[in-house]
Amino acid sequence: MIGQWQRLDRRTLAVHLKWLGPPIGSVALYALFTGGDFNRDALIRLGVLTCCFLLVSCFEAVQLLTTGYRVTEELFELRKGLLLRQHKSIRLERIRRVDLTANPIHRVLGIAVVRIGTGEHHSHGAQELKLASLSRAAGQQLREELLQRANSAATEPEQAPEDGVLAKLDWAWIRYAPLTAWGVLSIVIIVGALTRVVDWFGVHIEVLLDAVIRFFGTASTTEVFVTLGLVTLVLGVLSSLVAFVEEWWNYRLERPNKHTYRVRRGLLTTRQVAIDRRRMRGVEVRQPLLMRLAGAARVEAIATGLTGGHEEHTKIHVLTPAIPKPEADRIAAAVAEQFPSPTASTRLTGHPKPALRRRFVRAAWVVLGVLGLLVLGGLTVSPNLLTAAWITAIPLVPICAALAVDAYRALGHGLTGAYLVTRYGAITRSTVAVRTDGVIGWRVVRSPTQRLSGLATVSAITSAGKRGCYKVRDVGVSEGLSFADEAVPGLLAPFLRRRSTPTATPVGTEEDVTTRNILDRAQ
Amino acid sequence: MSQSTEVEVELRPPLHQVNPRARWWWTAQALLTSLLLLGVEYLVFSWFSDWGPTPTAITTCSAVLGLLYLLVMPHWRFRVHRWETSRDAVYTSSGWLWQEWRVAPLSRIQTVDMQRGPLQLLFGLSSVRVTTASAAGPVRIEGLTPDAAQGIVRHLTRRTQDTPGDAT
Repeated sequence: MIGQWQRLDRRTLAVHLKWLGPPIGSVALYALFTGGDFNRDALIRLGVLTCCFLLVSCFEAVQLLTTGYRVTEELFELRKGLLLRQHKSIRLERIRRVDLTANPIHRVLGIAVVRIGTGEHHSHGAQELKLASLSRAAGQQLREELLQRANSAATEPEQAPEDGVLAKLDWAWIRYAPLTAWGVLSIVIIVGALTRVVDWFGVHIEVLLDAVIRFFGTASTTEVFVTLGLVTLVLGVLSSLVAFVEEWWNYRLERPNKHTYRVRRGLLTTRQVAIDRRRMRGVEVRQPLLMRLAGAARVEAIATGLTGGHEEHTKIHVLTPAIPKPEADRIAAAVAEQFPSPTASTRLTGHPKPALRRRFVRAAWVVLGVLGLLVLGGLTVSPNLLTAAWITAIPLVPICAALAVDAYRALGHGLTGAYLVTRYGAITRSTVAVRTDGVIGWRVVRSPTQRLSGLATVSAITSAGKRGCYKVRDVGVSEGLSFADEAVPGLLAPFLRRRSTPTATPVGTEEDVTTRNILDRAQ
Repeated sequence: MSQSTEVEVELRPPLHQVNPRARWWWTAQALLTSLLLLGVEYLVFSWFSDWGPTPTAITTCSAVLGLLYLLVMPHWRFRVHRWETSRDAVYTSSGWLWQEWRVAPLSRIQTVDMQRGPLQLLFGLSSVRVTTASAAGPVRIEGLTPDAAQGIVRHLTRRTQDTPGDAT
């Protein structure tokens, strides 16, 4: 195998037949809507569409036939292209993850797409090579080979794999699925997209509205709105349940060997993500508001090389669906390899009172913004909006105030074992545990108001995560810096200045200034 | 004096100030930004000519704000922007209203570049950009003389070459 150029699986050509789907589908739809009456405009549109899709399939076919890959002693190499030849390579020891994905068409054909990622960040994200596609067996073999060689390059002896299943799908978890807003949103989006498509083929939206109104007959406006709302809600819940089944079918989080965590899930599209254990920098437990009220949480991995550009990969750091909080903490502990879990939140230090004031001020801005818009509309457009303003104010003010207090109570930070922990957020509460040996720098930011109230936002910089830093928000300056200094001893210390300030009686300012000057000169 | 004392910790300013010419560079930047904003406003308001006195008020307001920005920001920045390199780390402070301090250990540095934009070139200035493996963005030191910038680049490159590993 080593050193030989290999080809992609020829069955991938069949996948590209899917590009014929949209033109055939649109012709069929058009025929359906117009009863087979094609006028010239429609024919031109359909023709252009068909040509575009034919071009795309030709391009894909050429790419497929000219792609070759090989594994040498040190490199994974990929070359492709007919006129514009590309040659890419990754050093084996830099490979951090190898994923296999297969959508329904792939699965019928017995093939899978292989993605090979490194742990580096460039301005355009981590480097990633994609092989679309290999036979499933070849893909799995390639993955084993690459990960094994990536590991042996790091000279760690291979051990007998332990059969470690950390979590399996529990169908009771499906009760949390409707708690995401995506269900209802997706219905709205689908309906919106459908009306656009229908409109494109000359069926106007008024016709559809007429049909809806006729359907309701003599019902009043309120009844129509309530019914439509309920229908949307029910459809939304159903779609979120369906989405849950599709995404989390046969879900397993396991440790197939000493070096790897693996997530497998999916019904129609099977997703497999393998994360090199030495790339793990921590775990995050996330609780969107509704989930938190229901006592649920999601666990996500903080690992380097998990920020690919592909859309499917925006979710590759997700380790579990919404599951009960204790279960989430258990899994977080297993992934963090520290018990009790660093994310179980008993030992966190709270933040000073000015942080609460900042949250109230923010809540006030939200209230003012919403009410301001309504009042402005009331004065210029319709006085009805003025009524709407005070009706909105009644629930809005207490809700925002409650969220502010909740956000303040969420704030906390602490050190436990090998991890630094920070927690924040009311709309989405995050508890983040980052390995202190994964911290590759610090950032301290102070806004004007933070400077006035003695606060700072201290961020631990890591090579993992989409933003690359994890914030301790609105912590007292002294406390935050001591925390950072303690978390990574030696890094921040040379740039810190320690001052003994008497807490009982204030010191004369002149004396204070001279002490500081002497200290400065001494350094 | 009192018996009970508490140790307060704060960040000390980095050792070196940037070149004083940086103030003129920031002023030029501010001037361009303000002029651009006024230009856009002028275009928009000449399009909608039937708005009465509001456009004039808005334009005057932004002209005054732009002038204030132009006069205050560069000097404020100059007081804040500082840098320091030690045997083990780069330490910078930057910003004016929102201020930022960054510390990056040399062992985790991936690349060090010197950069000169057209405006910086005009004022004989350079920047140093230090990237790490993080998506949080590079550490920048702006408004240096080319010599100082080159010195920093040499120091950092020499130190980082000594450290093995891929800095993640």
